[in-house]
Amino acid sequence: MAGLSGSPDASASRAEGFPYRAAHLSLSGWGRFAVEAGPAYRPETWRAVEAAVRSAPEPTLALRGLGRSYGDSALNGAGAVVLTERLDRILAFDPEGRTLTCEAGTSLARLLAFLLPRGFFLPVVPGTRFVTVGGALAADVHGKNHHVDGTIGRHVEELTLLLSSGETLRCSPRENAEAFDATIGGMGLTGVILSARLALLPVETPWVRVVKRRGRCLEEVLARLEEEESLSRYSVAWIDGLARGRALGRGVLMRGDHVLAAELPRGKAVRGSLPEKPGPNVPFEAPSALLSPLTISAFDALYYAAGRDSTGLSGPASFFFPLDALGSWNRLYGRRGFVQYQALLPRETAAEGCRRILEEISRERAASFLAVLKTTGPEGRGVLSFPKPGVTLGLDVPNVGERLRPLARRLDEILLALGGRLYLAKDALTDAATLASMYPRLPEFLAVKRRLDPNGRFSSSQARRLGLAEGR
Amino acid sequence: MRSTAKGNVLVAGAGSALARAVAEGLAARGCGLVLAARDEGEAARTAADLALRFDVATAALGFDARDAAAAAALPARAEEALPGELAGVLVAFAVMPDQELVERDTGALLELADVNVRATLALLEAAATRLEGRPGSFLCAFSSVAGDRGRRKNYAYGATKAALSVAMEGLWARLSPKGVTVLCVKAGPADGAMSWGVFPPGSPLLVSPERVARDVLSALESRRRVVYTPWFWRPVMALLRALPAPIFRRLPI
Repeated sequence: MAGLSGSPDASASRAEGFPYRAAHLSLSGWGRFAVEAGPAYRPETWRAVEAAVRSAPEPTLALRGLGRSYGDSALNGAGAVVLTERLDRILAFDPEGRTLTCEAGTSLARLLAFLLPRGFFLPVVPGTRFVTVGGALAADVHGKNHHVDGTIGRHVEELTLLLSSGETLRCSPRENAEAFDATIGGMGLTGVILSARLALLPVETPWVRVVKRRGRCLEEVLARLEEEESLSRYSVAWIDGLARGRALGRGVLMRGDHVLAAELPRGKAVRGSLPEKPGPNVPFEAPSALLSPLTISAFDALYYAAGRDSTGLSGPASFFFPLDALGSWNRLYGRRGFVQYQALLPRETAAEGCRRILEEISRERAASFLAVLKTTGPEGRGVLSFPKPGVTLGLDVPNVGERLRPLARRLDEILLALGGRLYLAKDALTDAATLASMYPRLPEFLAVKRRLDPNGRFSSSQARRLGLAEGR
Repeated sequence: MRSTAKGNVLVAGAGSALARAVAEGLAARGCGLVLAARDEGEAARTAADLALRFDVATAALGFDARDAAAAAALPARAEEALPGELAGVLVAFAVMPDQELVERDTGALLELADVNVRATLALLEAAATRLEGRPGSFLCAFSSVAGDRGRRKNYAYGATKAALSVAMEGLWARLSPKGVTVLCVKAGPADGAMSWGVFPPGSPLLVSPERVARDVLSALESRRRVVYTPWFWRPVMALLRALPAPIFRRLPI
């Protein structure tokens, strides 16, 4: 075990009766935009989590899984951060009942590596599998099948929540439902999810049949997305963030479905898996100039390859998680980082909103990587959950320095005017008043939060910025 | 539960990240596992995880390493919990209080000795007696590079690890002629709870639990007596052991 250790100042950081040390970490969100340094705990046992919640000397705690939220959701300038990555065990698997129970620090990558060879898939996956279950529930993530299956929260049968009092609460849609609904999409502000039971999706093969179609402009892409969403379980469009004028919003629609064993061409394996660890890292911070030509050609390749109507088989990694092939692609944006702007617009105003957002961004020459367009279905149970019926547009905006905040402000105004909203897991820049107008159920969330966490133990830099946690 | 071709292994002190990583490596090789930890709930969660992910038989036990008799009873309890003869024992529990604390608090010093020496030696003897007639079995313990020299900042913990290293050498002399592998693991500081906040995160001195597990498993497979992990601790400690005490004392470590 630890050998040459025990620096003289180590004991100084320990509080009386609290046997765990904090490490001093400099952390950022996935966008590497805001960077905050401070104490961090990394519990390896449930008792250690409980001890941190009850007795860590810092006034507040923010929870952090794999750090894939883009902004400051998992930072805590005024307190400590609790890393859940070591609590990553699969606790139960019931193939007949089609459920799996695991700890909140378990990555979706680990779950998929376990599930795929056994003939199951997760009912909802976001664009990366390197997020934890706790993070996925806290952000109530959605995937390419939101129009069919809703968010991940719809598939959570039960969760165990550790409250700031040290008490654990079993929550489900039937039991402690208020706590459940505030925790799903609650950004880790109601308590620590210790474990969760998820419903699973049986799949006969790991393959996905993908149909790709081009859309020559935004209106065409949107129209086809709506037209075709009923044809497949998964659908999404990648659009060219750099196209202007008549080609603005040109893109490629992709829809996909799990392939049945009987439909599988010969030579394709019926069982497969996905690696649990990320691909090779981008080994350096790219000079910003590198990015644009690289991504332009990436888009062009995709766009022209799509041709008219192409159908093909895709492995789960390239269909669901194309960016996971590179370990830390966020470094491509260089030292200054980037923010991701993900907006949701009601269907009536989607075309106008997307057009105005794309125009604003291209006017600022904040040229974006590929942008993603996706239709969304009905709202789920989560009080602060992002999706509601409409269209969501997500794009990376490189940090263009002092022009970034005014740009984000103008984008927010477009959203407010058109009845849209921002995704908390991506947000880095908005303000409390804007958020409150986008999320009418915020007072309801705050009331439950006050009841579950009366002293405001759980917080984050984002929560303070947006008024999601009162006081501290 | 299915029976396990590779035999069952008792992991005493299964609550640490290091022990979990080695247990995972053993499970991946098809060993059944009895995981014993102070916190039985933790042992049970790890047991569930390994059973599911690696399709091996597992069991969990709670035990208090401050109690030498409880430690000595573990191998027998393990064979009840997971029927069958133990084919290996991994001794992975220890405490590491701050040196400054044990200098002023005799209670903390005695607890350190109780856990790291009394209970550890008691379990080693109980395990040795069981494994002695089982060629092909193994006995493995987590010692530490801290046991190779007496250091101002960590000598109490180091002394307990020196005792363990000496015991393992003797056990090797006793058991290896009978076909039992006896492996003493001398790990440098590892990226687990013990070192969290002591070393700067990402320090090149910290070894990952996965790396320790790889080194331990390959050393077991090649029937080594001592393994340093990572490997560079072997030449480093050879050098440090060669230094006269008056010079060693002056090193800024």
